[in-house]
Amino acid sequence: MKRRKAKKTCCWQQNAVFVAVIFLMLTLLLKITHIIFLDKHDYKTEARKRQITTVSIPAHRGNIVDRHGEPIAISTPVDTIGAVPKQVIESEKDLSQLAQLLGKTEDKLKHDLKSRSHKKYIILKRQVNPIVAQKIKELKINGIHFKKEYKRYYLGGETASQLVGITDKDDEGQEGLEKLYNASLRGEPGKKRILKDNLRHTLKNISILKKPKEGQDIILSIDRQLQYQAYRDLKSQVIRHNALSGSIIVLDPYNGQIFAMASAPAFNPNKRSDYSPAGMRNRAMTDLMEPGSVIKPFTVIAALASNRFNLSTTIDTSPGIFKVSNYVIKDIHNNGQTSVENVLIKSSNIGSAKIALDLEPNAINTILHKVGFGQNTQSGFPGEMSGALKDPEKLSKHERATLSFGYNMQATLLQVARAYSVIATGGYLPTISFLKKNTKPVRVLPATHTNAVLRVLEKVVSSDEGTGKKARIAGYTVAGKTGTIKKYSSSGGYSENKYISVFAGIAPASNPKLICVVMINEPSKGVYFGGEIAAPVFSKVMETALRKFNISPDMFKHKDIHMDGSQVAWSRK
Amino acid sequence: MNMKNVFIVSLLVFLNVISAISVIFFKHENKELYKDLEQLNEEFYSLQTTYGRLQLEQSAYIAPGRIERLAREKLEMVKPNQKQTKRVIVP
Repeated sequence: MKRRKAKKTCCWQQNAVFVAVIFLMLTLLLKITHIIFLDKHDYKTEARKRQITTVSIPAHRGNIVDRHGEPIAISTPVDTIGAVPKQVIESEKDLSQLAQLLGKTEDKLKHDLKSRSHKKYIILKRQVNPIVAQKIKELKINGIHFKKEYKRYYLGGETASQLVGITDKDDEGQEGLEKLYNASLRGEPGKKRILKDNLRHTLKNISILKKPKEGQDIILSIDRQLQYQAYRDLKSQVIRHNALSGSIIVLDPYNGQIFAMASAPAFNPNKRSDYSPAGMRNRAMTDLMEPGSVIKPFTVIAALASNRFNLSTTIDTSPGIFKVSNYVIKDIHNNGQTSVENVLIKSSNIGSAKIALDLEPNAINTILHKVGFGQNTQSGFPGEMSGALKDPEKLSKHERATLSFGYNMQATLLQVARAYSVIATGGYLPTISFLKKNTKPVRVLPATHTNAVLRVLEKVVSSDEGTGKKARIAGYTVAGKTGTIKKYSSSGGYSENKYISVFAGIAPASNPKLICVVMINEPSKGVYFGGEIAAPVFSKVMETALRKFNISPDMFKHKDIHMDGSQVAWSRK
Repeated sequence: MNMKNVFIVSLLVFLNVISAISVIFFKHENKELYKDLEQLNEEFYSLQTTYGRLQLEQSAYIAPGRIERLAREKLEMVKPNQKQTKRVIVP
């Protein structure tokens, strides 16, 4: 009996719990149905008000500095101004001041906002100067938003524009060294989670998911002051002679570090509207030319290496015209019987051609290949050309003759500068570098031949008969070679009135420290010889460079003073 | 329930309370530190902006073109020619 009663009580309690649970579940179901079908708009509105999103934290792009640590390109924080169009329109504030600060008319701004009012967010102006951004903030217009970004400023302006290059609007390297070293410079943007409302206002920062990784600074081998001087002197010569373009390179012959590299015309990297494909080309590396007479020293090296010639071997260049299988090679003057040395000093094409025809067919080609022609300099610069040397076995007799004075081959100005380093250093080929780092040059030629040619090149500048007289620098010995190249015309054959003027020089000749190569493309004021157009630019820039690098004069006409006050007559080291 | 069990349960309750309080404390601490970090970041950006502006200003002042113009026009400096130059030999 007792057991039956207990059983009954038990059933009653179970039923009560069961009913309660069912009731609770039904209530819950009812509430859920209510939320899903009836209150959905209210909840959606509430949800929109607070949203957790992930936004990126911009990383600072590394600075580019010159060899002394002076900045050439830097990134500083700026604001990008955005707007929620609908909100700005609804705020009914006076937009005239905002328009003025954004550099627009009020009507244009209103039109922009109205025409894109269906959009959630629009960008009004990118990368605004912080002072202007602050003024906009002070206007306190509802719906205007600010986003932190970095803007690149180029402190060298147009002087190093093609070399340093530019970044695109997303701060990624687009041209020049900015592109070459982009991986080191760019850094990595971070990420953070924020809570924001539907009006894009940040309500609160939640957490940092990934810290931004700052970009690394790059120390260039460039000397900013020398770069300025080189560009200025080059540009003024290009303008003076109404030339199409020009390039200049100043280089350390031992470790291949570029001290200055400029091209004209250039562009202002701080002004995007100024960008033009012609101004953006780093012509010293991207433009190919037939290098002309600046190749003759290598012909003479090939001659010396063959043991068939020495510097005083006589060559008959009369009557100033020489026919090689239907092609005519000319000298400016009839140089008559002339020595190998004078072939360089007077820049005789006939002398050079006769040497070439006497040598093995591949002799000059081999030397040119050894000093780096026809091969990329491995600098990695975007758009750098490799130039071309023809297969020596396929060269005709005429082509062999003209190769000896720099035709039938193609080279960049940088390759010419690198090849002259071999003459300056006694036979070592350097590795080209834009960074301030030492590289080891490789021996490619014996010092006896390169030193002999260096002494002759000194006479090209110092001798009154030499073609490079205008390259002289007071107080210093200079070695160099001029080049005047007829341009190949698009209609076939060589043009009679379009020239390229080149000068490649080494200073001080007694103890070479610097190489400077200048090229002026199509001077059109009647004068076109390399010795007249390019050599004066060399002289000016090299003089500055020698002083800049504290290189002592090696040829002083006046008396030197000892520290004790006594005077001594100058004597060359 | 013997004394041992009572003790264990009390200890667990106590630890639970401590853990709950620490969660609250560290969450608050985290919030505060994050706020500080945000403030410092803001300050960092602002200092970076100022530094950038100063660098631009300095660069404008030391631009070789400006120095050259000032030397020539204001200070009336000229480049010495060779006759005006003497080489001093330091023993």
